[in-house]
Amino acid sequence: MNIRAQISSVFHLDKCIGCHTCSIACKNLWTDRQGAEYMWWNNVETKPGTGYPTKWEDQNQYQGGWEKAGDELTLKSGGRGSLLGKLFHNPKLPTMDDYYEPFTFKYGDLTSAPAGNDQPTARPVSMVSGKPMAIEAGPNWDDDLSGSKSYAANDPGVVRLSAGEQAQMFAIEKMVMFHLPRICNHCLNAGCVAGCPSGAIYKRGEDGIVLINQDKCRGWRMCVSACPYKKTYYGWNTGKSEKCLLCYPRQEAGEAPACFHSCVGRIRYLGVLLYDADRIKETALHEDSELAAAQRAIILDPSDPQVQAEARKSGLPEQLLAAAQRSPVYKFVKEWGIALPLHPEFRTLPMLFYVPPLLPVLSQANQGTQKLAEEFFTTLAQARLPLQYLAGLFAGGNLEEVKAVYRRLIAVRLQRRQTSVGDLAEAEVAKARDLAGVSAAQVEAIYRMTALTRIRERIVVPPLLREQAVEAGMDPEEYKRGMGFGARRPPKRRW
Amino acid sequence: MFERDTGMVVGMLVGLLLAATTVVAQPTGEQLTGLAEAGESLFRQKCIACHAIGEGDKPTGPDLAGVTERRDRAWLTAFIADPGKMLEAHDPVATELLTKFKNLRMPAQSLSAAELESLLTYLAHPEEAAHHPPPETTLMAAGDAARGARLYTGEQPFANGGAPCLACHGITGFGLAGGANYGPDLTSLFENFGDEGLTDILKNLPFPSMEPIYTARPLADTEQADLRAFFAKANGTPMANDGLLFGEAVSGVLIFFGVVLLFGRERLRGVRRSLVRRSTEKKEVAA
Repeated sequence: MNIRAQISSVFHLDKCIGCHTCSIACKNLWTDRQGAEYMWWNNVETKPGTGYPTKWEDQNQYQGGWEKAGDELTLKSGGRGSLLGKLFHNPKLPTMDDYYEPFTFKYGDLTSAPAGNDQPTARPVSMVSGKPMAIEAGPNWDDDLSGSKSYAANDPGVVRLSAGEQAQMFAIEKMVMFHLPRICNHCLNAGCVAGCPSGAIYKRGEDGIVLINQDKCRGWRMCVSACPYKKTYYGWNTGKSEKCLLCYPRQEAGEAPACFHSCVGRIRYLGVLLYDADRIKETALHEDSELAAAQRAIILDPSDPQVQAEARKSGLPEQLLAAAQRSPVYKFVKEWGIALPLHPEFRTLPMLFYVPPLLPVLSQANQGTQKLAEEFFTTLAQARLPLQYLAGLFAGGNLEEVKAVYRRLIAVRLQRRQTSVGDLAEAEVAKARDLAGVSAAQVEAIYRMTALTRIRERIVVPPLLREQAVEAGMDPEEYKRGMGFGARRPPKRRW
Repeated sequence: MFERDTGMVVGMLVGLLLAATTVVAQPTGEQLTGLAEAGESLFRQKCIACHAIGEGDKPTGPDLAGVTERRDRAWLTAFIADPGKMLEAHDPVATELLTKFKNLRMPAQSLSAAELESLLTYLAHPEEAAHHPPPETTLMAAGDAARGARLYTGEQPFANGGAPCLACHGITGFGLAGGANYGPDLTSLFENFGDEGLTDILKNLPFPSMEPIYTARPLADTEQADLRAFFAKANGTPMANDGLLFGEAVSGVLIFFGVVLLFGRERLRGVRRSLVRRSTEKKEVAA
């Protein structure tokens, strides 16, 4: 066993209100720069919808992620030889229009316009060319189902559904949607790392955060095509690619990443997971429908003394092990089994999990008055949002995975209703729990974690022990005095 | 234009001066014989390939017997020094000669004043050197055209190490883009100069740009015969088209861009725009 630590997260989609505060926090902190205007390391999409960049999930077009070739995994965008052949004309890159052409407005004209008969206006100008432009798209252009005939109807997950299911989704007065916030998944088997010809992308050993070394990046943009989630971005000004860094400088200071910290709906949970790095390949080689389960299996129980002993042998510090036991992510993913990875069929083993949204599925399916356990499960089958759609998003098409999660979420609802309103029979609640396979105590714990916890419980930033890493290399006093804002050195250029 | 005219005037003046001095001091006796001898050897080195004396015009150049009486000394001096310049100045005699000898330009000869003097003396008094034994005329063996072709292209190197003809001269049927064009195209060489002229040319290769290459590395007799046969065979084939190079370059560029286009078809073009276009078009059809 080769036990490693991974800082991972859970986004609870039932709590997301789609306010984009996370995106703005991230933009202000990291990508408010020339050449980075179009980047949204954190973005919030509306589902069904085509997202950002447009149709990023459609790997027939973008060729991101891995595919199984017998007993081996190969990047869909090509092996080493093929990547070398495409070095100077990477053909599978999203165009600027697929992200969107960044724009601003000539606000100055509002105050400096000469007196006249018309109201002064602020014309939109491109932030790339500086010229006036017609705005055709934005990073959340299909927000709240806008333009759904074009966008939501072409969601790759929707297109896969049967005609009947599609009609069901888009029936007038039954339109349904939910929000899907996305950041880098900091995958265990990251496509971007494998695709990089310069070896500039790496997964930090101590916490699994995937970073791009700006000194080594040569701007080939193979990571952009290899990442199936399109979460690496090419910086037009620096000529280098960049991506979400899970706010590691904030985490090293014990703070939550900016998007987690600013989340209005408190949907974001963060904690460390232990996993067996020797089993990454065998895990990623499972069939599509088994991938979500296989990914759960690679995550180890931090309370298991045997795992702890192995982890110590692998060199994980005690503080990290202690943090792993408090990890809310472990609880969501393993103990309660109500969080699933996004598109596990891309085989990158993404380490960001989602609690699928129950509400769009259930609300109004029966005029919002589901009461009995039996009724819940029968209405699930005729829900407005076809379960098959959610299975395509979170379980590689495996309906059973999604159903299992919903049974548990429904059990929580029923038990809480019984506790707070008291209009349900205890037998019904117990039946729901049995069907879901959760105990009353677990239900209470899920409820507490979902609704009542404060930030230090939701976001357990492990001690990253940078001081130990510094000590290993140089005298900490010298480091402190010598580094200031960090080592400044000109990039190495080989040409 | 103006400079050229003044240059010519100066040249003529120098010629006149030279003529004046010779008139003043006409060599006689042994001095005359010496000059004529030196002139003859120069003639054999540089002129005989294209010119004859008293044997009639060769295909490559006029008979030079009595040339010193036909033309004045200044004209001769200027012509020998640079025939091209005379042609550019539209000298009527030079132009007529060029037409007569099928556009074969006489190469400019860089002779010193003493050499020029001896050459002109020899041309004026060829009989003074008549007792000098004439050069041996070697009997030319019939050549092999196929071997000549190999020699021409360099497939078979020249025995003395001279550069193959194709390095500078194009000829129909060889080379992709109408062949090399550093020297003139040789397709009609045989037609222009005939067997005799060709024999002389191949023997001496009396052209200033070829001299540095072949003086130290002359063509062997058999090689000359082979090349002659090859040129004779090439005679009559149509000249390489000058537009061929252009056409081939254009088609090469087209092929290159075609290949790039083929690869480029695989690339990802805008996803969003085409998606919106398709879905709005569909709506219009439905409406």
